Amino acid sequence: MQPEITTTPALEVHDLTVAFDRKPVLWNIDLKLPAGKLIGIIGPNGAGKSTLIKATMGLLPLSSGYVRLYDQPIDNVRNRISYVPQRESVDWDFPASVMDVVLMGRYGKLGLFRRVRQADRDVALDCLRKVGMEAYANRQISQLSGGQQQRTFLARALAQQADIYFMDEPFAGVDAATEKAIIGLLQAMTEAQKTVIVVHHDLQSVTHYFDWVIMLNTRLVACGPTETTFTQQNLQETYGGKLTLLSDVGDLIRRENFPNREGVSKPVL
Amino acid sequence: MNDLYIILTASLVACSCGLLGCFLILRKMAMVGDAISHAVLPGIVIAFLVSGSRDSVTMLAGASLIGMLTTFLIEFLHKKARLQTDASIGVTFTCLFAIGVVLISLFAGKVDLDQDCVLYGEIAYVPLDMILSPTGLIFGPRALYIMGAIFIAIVLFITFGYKELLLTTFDPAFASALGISATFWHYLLMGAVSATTVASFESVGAILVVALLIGPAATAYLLTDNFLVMLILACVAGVLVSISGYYIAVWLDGSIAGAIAGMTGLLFTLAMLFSPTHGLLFKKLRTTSDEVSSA
Repeated sequence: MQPEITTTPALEVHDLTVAFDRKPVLWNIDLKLPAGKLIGIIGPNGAGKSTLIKATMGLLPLSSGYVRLYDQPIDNVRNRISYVPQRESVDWDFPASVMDVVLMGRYGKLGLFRRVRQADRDVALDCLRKVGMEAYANRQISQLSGGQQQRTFLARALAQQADIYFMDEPFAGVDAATEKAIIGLLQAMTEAQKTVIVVHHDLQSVTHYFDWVIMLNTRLVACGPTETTFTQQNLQETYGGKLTLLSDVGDLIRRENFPNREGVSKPVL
Repeated sequence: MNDLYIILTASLVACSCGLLGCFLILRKMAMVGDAISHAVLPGIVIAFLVSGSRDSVTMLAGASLIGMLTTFLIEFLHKKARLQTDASIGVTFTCLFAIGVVLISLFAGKVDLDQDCVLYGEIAYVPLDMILSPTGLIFGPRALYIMGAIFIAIVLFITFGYKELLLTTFDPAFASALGISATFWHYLLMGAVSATTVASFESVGAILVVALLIGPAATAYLLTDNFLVMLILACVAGVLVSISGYYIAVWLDGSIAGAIAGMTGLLFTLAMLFSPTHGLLFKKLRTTSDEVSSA
């Protein structure tokens, strides 16, 4: 069912099950992801999207199965992975500047006891420039807007100079301009053969943004290139009887009938 | 000379507690210090009963073990029994403290300890317990040496583990993704809090330890937006309350620990009102001037 990947997969998940209090949140997930793609994880609330990326990075105990990155166990390749957590997961009143937060991305490379050097500051500043935040380097993080907080997190992830990036809803609560800037950056990263895996909510933009999609609802519904995988049938299987979301699906079906309308104007939700 | 010994000991306690307190309040775990300082009581009693001596090292070891057990129990109740953190802290330390009280009352005749001495301590007795050389030379108070060692250990711990402590405090999930174990650094920090609390409260009492763990750090939090500056300010605040508290106690002829804890509260109130960044007064001034300029 899943198309074969000829080169070494960036990520291989085999028979992965995660359970909280014996209640499975993810059940028997089997997938392989190619390198150098922008990959979206979609599914309804509670489908286990965030759990999938946390479990993949070894932040949660697995009930069964294993994960391999670049054909190696995760602990051997820690410095090749990067993580952008949900924005609400930290306390933004923490006494730190934007620069302090971005420098945290360098900590993994530095290792124990070593101090931050000028070279690390240069990398951090360069990453801030990429996300358009260099003017805010010394700004206290509590004074940032939601979009600026998200871009700070993104700069921190970039500062890790990793090969595979896991992002938990990077577009939540950011304005349209920031979303466009971020997606441009992610596409540039995949062109440089980085693999970017994004938990995503907005079904309207899936076809524009992602090369691959993972469709998830506790079980894996489908995983593959967007044009062959993001189909009406898979969407119905993923979202099932969720009424509010069926209207979104209806929207997408309608747009499929009128392909010339795509991209002209994005409906306001 | 006695004045200097007392002020120096109090300052060392205040600085050690203040440094650790900065991490505790940013981790929203300020009450863990409170919990540990009470929960170590059974550890001290058991260490005394087993070894039969009131030697500081034995006490420190027994109490540190119980301190670690306390943090472990709090984590366990929070993670496994799905109890809120504050509730698990409350259940754990009251229970352990009660065991200590029962043990003391059971062996009251054999233990030269009581709840009052544990809770309130008496910093004024610091100069009475001197280290003497066999020839009778006075090296200074024992508490001063113990607190000096603890303070140096804390400073080294924070200097060498600065990055890891900062990151696991700000964003534990990200730290784990980098391969920096949030759990490991949590227990290391809690171990440091246990050791400091235990070493301090022998000389200054549990309530002053709690006041110094939270007060100076909370004051520093209100005065700056930079974590390193916050650590330094917490130490400065600690030294200030130790000196002013001591002289107020002498002037009033009252409890030194009480006066120091009182000064901690006063300093915090001043910071709350007059801090240039978070102070209520400046916020009020700023909103008024905004209104004026927009009108």
